[in-house]
Order: sequence, then C-alpha cells, then structure tokens
Amino acid sequence: MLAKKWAGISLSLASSTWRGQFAEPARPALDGEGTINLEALATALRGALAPVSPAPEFRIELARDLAAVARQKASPRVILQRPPRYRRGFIIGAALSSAVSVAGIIAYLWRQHSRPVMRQSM
Amino acid sequence: MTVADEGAHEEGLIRQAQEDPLAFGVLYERYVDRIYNYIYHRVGNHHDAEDLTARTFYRALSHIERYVDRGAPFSAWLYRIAHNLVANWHRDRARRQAIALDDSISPLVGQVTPHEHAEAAEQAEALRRAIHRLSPDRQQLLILKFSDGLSNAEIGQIMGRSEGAIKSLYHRTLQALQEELQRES
Repeated sequence: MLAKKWAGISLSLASSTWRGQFAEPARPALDGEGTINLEALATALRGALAPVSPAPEFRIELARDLAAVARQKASPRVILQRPPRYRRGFIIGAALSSAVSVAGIIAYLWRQHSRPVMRQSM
Repeated sequence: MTVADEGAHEEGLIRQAQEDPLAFGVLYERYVDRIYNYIYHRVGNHHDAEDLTARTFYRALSHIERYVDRGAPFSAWLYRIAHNLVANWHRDRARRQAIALDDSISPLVGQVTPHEHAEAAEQAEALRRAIHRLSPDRQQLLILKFSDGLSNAEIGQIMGRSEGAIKSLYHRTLQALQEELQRES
C-alpha cells in the first residue's frame, strides 16, 4: 500500500513546481520486488528537507542582541581598586566607634534589666 | 573565489571576531540561515528552531576566543554546537515531533486537487516521522546533503569523517529510512 503511495507521490512531486525542486521526470518508485525505489526516496527527501529560512524579524532581532552582547564583551573591564590608606583609616575608625556605641547600648540595657525592682509598700 | 581563497577569507573573519567581538556579526550573517535550517529540520517547528539558533550563536560568540582552526570549516564548529543543543532539546522533551499545519506541503496548494494535496501532505508527514526516528548523525547527514546541498567531502569535514565513510553512511541511511517507511506502512 505504502509502495503504491510512494509511486503516486513521486509522480505528483515530479509534476509540481515545489520550490523548483522537482524538474526531473517521474520515475517508477517500485522495483520488481515491490520495494521502495531509492531514487524516488531521494527525490522525496529533497522535498521534505527543502531549505527553510528564518523569519526576517528574527534575523534582525538576533543580530541586534548579539551586537549588544559583543559590545559588553568588548568594553574595558572594571577593575576594583583598594581604597587609599587614609580612607581605610576612616573606615576602620568608623567601624570601631560603631562597635563601641553598640556595646554601650547593650551594657546600659543589661544594667537596667539587672536592677532590683522597688516595691511600693501598701 | 577559489576554495583556498574562501578558507583564507574565513580565517581572517574568525581572527577579527576573536580580536573584536563586534566583528562576529559577519560570521553570524554568513551562517545563520544554514544553522537555522539544520535546527528546523531536526526539531520540526519554527519556535524551537529560533530559540536553539539564538542559543547556538550566543554560545559561539561567548566561546569564539577558544576556537582553534583544526582544518575543518568554521561551520563545522557551529553545526557541532547546534547538534549538541538539539540533542539536549530532545533529551529534555518528549520524542514526539509536533509539526504545525503551516509546515505541511503548502507550496502544492493551487497546483493539485485537495485530495492529492492531503495525500501528499500525509506522505511528507510519514517521511518526516521516519527521518526523526533515525539516529542524530543520520539525520544530520540527510539535512546537510538534501537541505544544504553539500557534497560528501564537505559533509565529511563537518561531521569529522572521511568522504568514503560519509558515502557509506549515506547508503546505510537511505536503507534504514526505507525500512522505517516500510515499517510504518
């Protein structure tokens, strides 16, 4: 059944102007043993695998996106520099004073918590 | 331009792209149609073909500095990236290939009767299904041969095999396809 169908399609494909792929005359798809003719198969493959192009909008958009990525690649790298010494001194001093302040607040709260509560006599 | 000139020209383009990523655009324009075509015939629909084509070129751009000319054309490298991405795509999704109605044999409309059109569409669908059941290497061979129109020697360069091996693989592939179609009947 399929072999007969292949005979049919090889004729219809050969007679069509399917993207200009089939200018060849139709050949019988069946050999004497009823198997599929490889030549007809190759012809059908040319049709099934006819070149397909991407949509123009897709091409343009992808080109644009790739260019953006390429620009990022091409831009000079940002190098992190160590801060100058005097700035480091400021940073260390600020950190220490903050730590002392926090310690003082914690100590004050701890003392408040530890004081005995004065009860009012009735 | 001779083959040797073509190769030298391409070498220059690759070197430029390695030095200046913005020059990659020339290589993109040169190969986007072929890579898209290859991926489309492997996955069967435009949506995934666009996604995988984009991923192929993003990957190529990010690794262009590592590309080393080993005598194969630049397209071989791109095809390998595309081939691997398609293999991952198949692994991650179901094997069933959904082919949209607009991918059927629309060029026949107006030239044949509706019945003949439907029958031709059915046969093309059967053939595509049979193609997608072949191994990835055999599918690649068929696409490069019938869609890109490459010679056995050119296909051999892309697939990393000798011309003789490609010829042999081609004949085995047609036989395998023949068996697939007979099995389907």
